[in-house]
Amino acid sequence: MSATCEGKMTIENSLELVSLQDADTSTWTRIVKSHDQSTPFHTLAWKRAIERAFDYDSRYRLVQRDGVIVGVVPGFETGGVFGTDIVQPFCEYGYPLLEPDVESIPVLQAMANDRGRFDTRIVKEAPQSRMVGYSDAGFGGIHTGVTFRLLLDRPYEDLFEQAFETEVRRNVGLAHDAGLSVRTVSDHQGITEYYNLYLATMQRLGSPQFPRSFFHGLFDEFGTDCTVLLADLDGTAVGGVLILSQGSESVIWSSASDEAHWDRSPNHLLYSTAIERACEKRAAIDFGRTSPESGVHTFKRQFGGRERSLVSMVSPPHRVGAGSLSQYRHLESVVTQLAPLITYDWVGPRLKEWIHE
Amino acid sequence: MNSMITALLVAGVILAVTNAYWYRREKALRDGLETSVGWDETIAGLDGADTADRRLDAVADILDTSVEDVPAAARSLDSKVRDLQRSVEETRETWAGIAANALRTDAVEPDDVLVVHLVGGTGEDARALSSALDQDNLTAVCAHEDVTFVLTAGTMSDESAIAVARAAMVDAPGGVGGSETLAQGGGDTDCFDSIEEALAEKAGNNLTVVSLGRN
Repeated sequence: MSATCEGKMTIENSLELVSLQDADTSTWTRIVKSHDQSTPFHTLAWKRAIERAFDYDSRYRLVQRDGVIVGVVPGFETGGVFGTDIVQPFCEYGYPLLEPDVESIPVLQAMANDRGRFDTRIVKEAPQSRMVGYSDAGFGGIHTGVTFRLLLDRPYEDLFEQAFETEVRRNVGLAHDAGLSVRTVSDHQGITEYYNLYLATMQRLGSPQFPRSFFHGLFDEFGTDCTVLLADLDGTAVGGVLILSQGSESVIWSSASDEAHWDRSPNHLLYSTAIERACEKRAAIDFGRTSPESGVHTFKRQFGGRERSLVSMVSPPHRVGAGSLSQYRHLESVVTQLAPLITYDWVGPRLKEWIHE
Repeated sequence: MNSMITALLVAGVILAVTNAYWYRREKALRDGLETSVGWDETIAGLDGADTADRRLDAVADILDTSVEDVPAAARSLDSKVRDLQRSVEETRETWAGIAANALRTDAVEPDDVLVVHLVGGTGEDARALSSALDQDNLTAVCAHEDVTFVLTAGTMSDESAIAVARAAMVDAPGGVGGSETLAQGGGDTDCFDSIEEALAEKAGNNLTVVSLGRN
């Protein structure tokens, strides 16, 4: 294996990694759409939305064999402590998608080598990718949390009765009784409403926020595959979720709610509505990454999805700390005190860009 | 002297920091590789597990139970199926006994060469009726539901059931198997004509033909 020039990496058996060019976007889209394990984070809509809001350089690569594209490798160059992290930021899944007859180890080896001396390659993995060979390719791994994935293999009414815990059914009923209703956002005004809720949530948590432009970008780029639901009380949004979809899968990528209305269970209503909507078109819905010991974990588990581990694979392997999220969790007690500074208009989005999670 | 102490202190700090760095680096390397090896082993072992998960969920859904309770529900279902099969067998034997008695009473003598057409019956029904009739001569029971037949050679007959059936089916589509006393076969409805012709030949002009069930 050898680096032939910048943006091009030759792999054994005449495989090579080549930079994604404008002319290749239709090939990328074809592979993503036809691959069983693709996610919204593999789409070019996700790439464009990130490029609109952040100052990252793209490291999207195509896997080429004998001149034919047989796989895709997403990723951006983001800021690291030393050198650059090459990672698919702000999401749970950034693994390569390969055609079924492509051996994974040479591709993973090429990905490990497709970086500068001080750079770190981080690949966000989940069991559904079925990608093996990371240890042989010289990657180290680190657990980053879990997700819940609910199969939508029966009508919503059956899921509601059979899969959801009693607590969910009770809270959904409570939300309706409390006068909450769910609205689907159809314009940028709605996105702004959601963003305001999201910003308040980040300020409560002391977590740096995405720039407003990112949400508008997602809404524009994903089109009908981006759904934002708002839980309204007397015409005011008190909770919301943002769902991204690709093929047969939906991911609840972001959620926000007004703490003052938690007694009305807006989150239960929003999640159950998101599942109901997904039942119409999708085969599974993913609830996104959660820390196993958190309250959010308990909340998401109630909807009956199957829990799966999330892992980040890192090359070189001694830099697995770059893929860890626990360092941010350790700062929780401090960041709530610093919330006004961390979520300040100018500071929050820049911190988010640097943290890239 | 002071400069010597300072140099030693600086060297000690550098050594401690370097050791700490390499210790952390080695630990991260070891933990990271342990995780990636574990991942590869797990995923390789999971081959098809996602499909299996989906199938298990589908089975749980069909059984109207949780995934955890699938084994118990499957055992219960298996038990019910076996009970039902026993019940069907008992009912079939009862029916065959009643049908045989009715035929004996109305139309059939024990030494008749006999063909019974079970218009709505299956091969299992044909075997049960054949057994209940227990004729002394050549007897064929033709099951029209699945186009199979049972041919028996009773104690009065010098014929071989399998030989008669094979001869009858030489030119007919289908197959036949069995023993000297009992042969079973099937094909399409033409095979019933072949069997009937073969038995008519053996019986001279005394073939008894009976039809049971809906027409």
